[in-house]
Amino acid sequence: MIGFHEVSKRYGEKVAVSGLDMTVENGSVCVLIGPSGCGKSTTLRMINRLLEPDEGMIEVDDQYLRDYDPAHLRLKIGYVIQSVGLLPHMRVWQNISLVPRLLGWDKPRRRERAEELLEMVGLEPGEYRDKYPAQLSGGEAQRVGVARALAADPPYLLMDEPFGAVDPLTRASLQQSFREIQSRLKKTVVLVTHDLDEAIYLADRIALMKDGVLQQFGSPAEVLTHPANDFVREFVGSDRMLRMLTTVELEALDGWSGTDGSRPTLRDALSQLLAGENQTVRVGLRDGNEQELSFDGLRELVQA
Amino acid sequence: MRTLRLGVLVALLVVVLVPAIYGPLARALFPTESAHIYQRVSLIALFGQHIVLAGFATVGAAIVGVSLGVLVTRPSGRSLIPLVRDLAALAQTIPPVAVLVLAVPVLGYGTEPTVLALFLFSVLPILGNTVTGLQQVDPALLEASTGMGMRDWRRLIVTELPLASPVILAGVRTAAIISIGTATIGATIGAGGLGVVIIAGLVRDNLAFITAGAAASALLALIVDWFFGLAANRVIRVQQGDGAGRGARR
Amino acid sequence: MKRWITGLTEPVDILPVVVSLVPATGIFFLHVIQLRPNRVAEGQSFGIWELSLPLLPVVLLVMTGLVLLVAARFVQQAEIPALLLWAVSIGIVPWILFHMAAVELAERGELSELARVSPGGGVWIGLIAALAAWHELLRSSRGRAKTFFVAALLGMVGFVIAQLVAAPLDRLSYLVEYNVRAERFTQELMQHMRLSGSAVGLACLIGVPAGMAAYRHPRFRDAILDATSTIQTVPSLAMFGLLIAPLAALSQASPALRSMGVSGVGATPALIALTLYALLPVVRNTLTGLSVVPRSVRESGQAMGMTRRQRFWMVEMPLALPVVIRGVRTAAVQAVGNTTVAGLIGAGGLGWFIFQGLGQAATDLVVLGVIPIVLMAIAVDRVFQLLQQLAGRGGSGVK
Repeated sequence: MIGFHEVSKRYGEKVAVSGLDMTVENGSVCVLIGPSGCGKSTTLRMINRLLEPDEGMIEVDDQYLRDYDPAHLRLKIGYVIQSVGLLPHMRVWQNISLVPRLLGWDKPRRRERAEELLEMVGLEPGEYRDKYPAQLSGGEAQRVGVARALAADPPYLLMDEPFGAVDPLTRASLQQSFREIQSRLKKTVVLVTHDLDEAIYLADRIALMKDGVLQQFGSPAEVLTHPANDFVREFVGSDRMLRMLTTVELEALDGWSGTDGSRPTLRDALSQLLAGENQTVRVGLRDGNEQELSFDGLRELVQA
Repeated sequence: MRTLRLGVLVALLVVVLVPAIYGPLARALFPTESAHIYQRVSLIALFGQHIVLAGFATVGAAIVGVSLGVLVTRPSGRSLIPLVRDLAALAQTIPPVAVLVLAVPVLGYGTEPTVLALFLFSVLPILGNTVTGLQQVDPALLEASTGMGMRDWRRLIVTELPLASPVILAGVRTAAIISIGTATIGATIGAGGLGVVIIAGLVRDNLAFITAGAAASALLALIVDWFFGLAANRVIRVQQGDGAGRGARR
Repeated sequence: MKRWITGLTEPVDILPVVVSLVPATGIFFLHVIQLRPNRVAEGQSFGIWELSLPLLPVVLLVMTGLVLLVAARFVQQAEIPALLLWAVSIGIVPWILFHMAAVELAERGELSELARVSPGGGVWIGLIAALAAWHELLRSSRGRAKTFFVAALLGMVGFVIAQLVAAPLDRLSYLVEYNVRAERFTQELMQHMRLSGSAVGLACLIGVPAGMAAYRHPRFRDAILDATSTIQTVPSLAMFGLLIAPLAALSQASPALRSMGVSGVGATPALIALTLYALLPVVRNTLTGLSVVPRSVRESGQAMGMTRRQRFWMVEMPLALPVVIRGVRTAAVQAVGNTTVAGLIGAGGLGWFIFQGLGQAATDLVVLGVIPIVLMAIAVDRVFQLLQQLAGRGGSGVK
């Protein structure tokens, strides 16, 4: 787990993070979100000691960060940044296996691992393994970046706006892939984004920050249905209940056609209702039941 | 095409250096001269001297220049960067001949002072290029490297230097060519090298000598440049160019 | 630098410390003055310890104190008076010591009619450190502070010059040498300027149109660039040498050319070679300058209804001008340097002094030739830099 205890950081006069106190449970995804300058990136970079806090302590795995050797610590933490930072003079597989190389793995093992990871992130190993970063599209580079972060199987993953620099379609695809990988690997992830929808889709817990202060720390459902203060309320928007719809997944939805691997949500159900002429639409819930869902039924499910 | 060029250059060099070939040629071109082959030292020996002069200086300058460049770009050396940059710019203004010649009162005549002067003169362009090359490495790459757990030394070797290498290589290339050129003049301060033949020709008014020395040194420079060109292409290919690490590729 | 020396937690700025320590080391350990009874005799060098200079301990103490003081103070943004004091002392103290040494030698009766003195290694090192210090000072100061520094600098230079006209420093070796050959000096100086100037001028006449042609006809671009960069690779002496034979043949074959002054040695091959060398920077920069004119600007010219020619002269060329001037600047600076070698093939120029000096083992002659060349190169560079800025001001900021 990652624990923050009264952590603060200042840049001269400006306060970047103030009195941050929260805990990220093992195997969960914590999304840091907030307006520009709220301190989310700063917070993230204090975890792998690219920045040092001025006050307070951070602990990882029951050991205080200060007691770790920085380079050693970072080998245990995967790090993905928006611009990816693939080394242009190395092939894809060499980029992916950088941390294993630092750890001393031998070449055959590294190659094998690289191919494994390429497959995990949805890139055909035979095709991509020997390419150079210059030959990759934005989305492909991002996937390689994630593969690189996962190469040494670190228990922790830090991601700073990882999907921000690509077009919406690619982004959706990347987010979906991330969810799948996470459901398999169960890493402890801290992810920074400015996109609320992304946060809702990916997070187990959302940490909403403003001006360096934590405004609310809770599940997406909590934040949407019980905003802690006016700022949170305004941030999630007056259409928060619409957003809430996307947090309830369905097993099946009549007439819904989505990309494979993804599940319909209540939002899609609402969409179907609005588009059609019937009063209800047939849905299959996650608990196995089936139901003819009406507008009222929808409201019930959301408010539950 | 490139190989053809190298072939031509080498062929011409052989023509000039080998007395058996150059002799008859010179006699045909310069019938009125009294001597056609420089007798004191063989041209091939002078050629070797020239390579040694310029080679030692350039290699030494590369080692020192790159090391200093690395040190200056580390956090503790940051304050020296403006000075280094201005020095490098200044060095571009000062004629290499001046440095060579000014070395005499300090170091005397002969081979060692020449190599030293060449070395000193070559360090600055290499140093300047190393600094520029290292500074233009995409900061995102540096962050990614540190973030994944590389220590500074590692990062320097794996990330920074390879990415800076085209610029650094260009600096070494410039230094090498200038060294070869200035070493030619080194003959005037007793350093040996191909300039000896040219000067001998100037003094005795002998066109065969002048042309031999001039052609040989010119060809040496062109051949060395050819090899650097090859290296430059190789390095750029490995680099795969323009900041390709950025994910935002549309 | 260790924390316990300065007691501060921020890293110490290395530069002023280095620049302070260097002249101090030079003065303490190296020679301050060199005496030679005549031009070619072996010189005798003296350090500060070998002379009984008055006030020496005081001067040294002051200097050491200043060095340590300001080295520490620098970290805390030193005040202007302190900085001024520091910079002036770094520049002046070595010189004053040199002067005092010269005075002492004169009093000892060593300065006969033909004798000359030159600054020792310690003074030269002090001069270099002072250059670095002043460079840094002028570079990073603004407004009133900068005015003070410039005034101080001019004051120091004036002081030095004033000392040079009177005894004993009129025995400065370089001055002595100059006095003997003043006329020849001027002659060769003029010749040097003539040669470099003409070469650059010709290079512009040929190079700018060539660059324009390369820009308009991409097919020629690679060929032209390749040719000019090949020329640059060839050592200058070799270039001169290679031209001598053909030109000699040419002048023999054609009496008409011979009467024009074309010959195998002398100014002709020099001028041709110098021009060839100056071509690359001019051509390449003309090409680059024209290439970076933004497409939007070109298109709006087109949209306005300008003909190709009008567009070229009214839009593209003015925008390309700063870059072209930069190319001419590079060419000019290199030309000044290359012309030095012309002295070897009988073309004249300040190089003549250099090679004469080398042949006769007379260092002062060599220095007499080299220093003006270096100063000229720097001056030319600054002048063109100014022109570049003037040309750029009206432009679009295209670098």
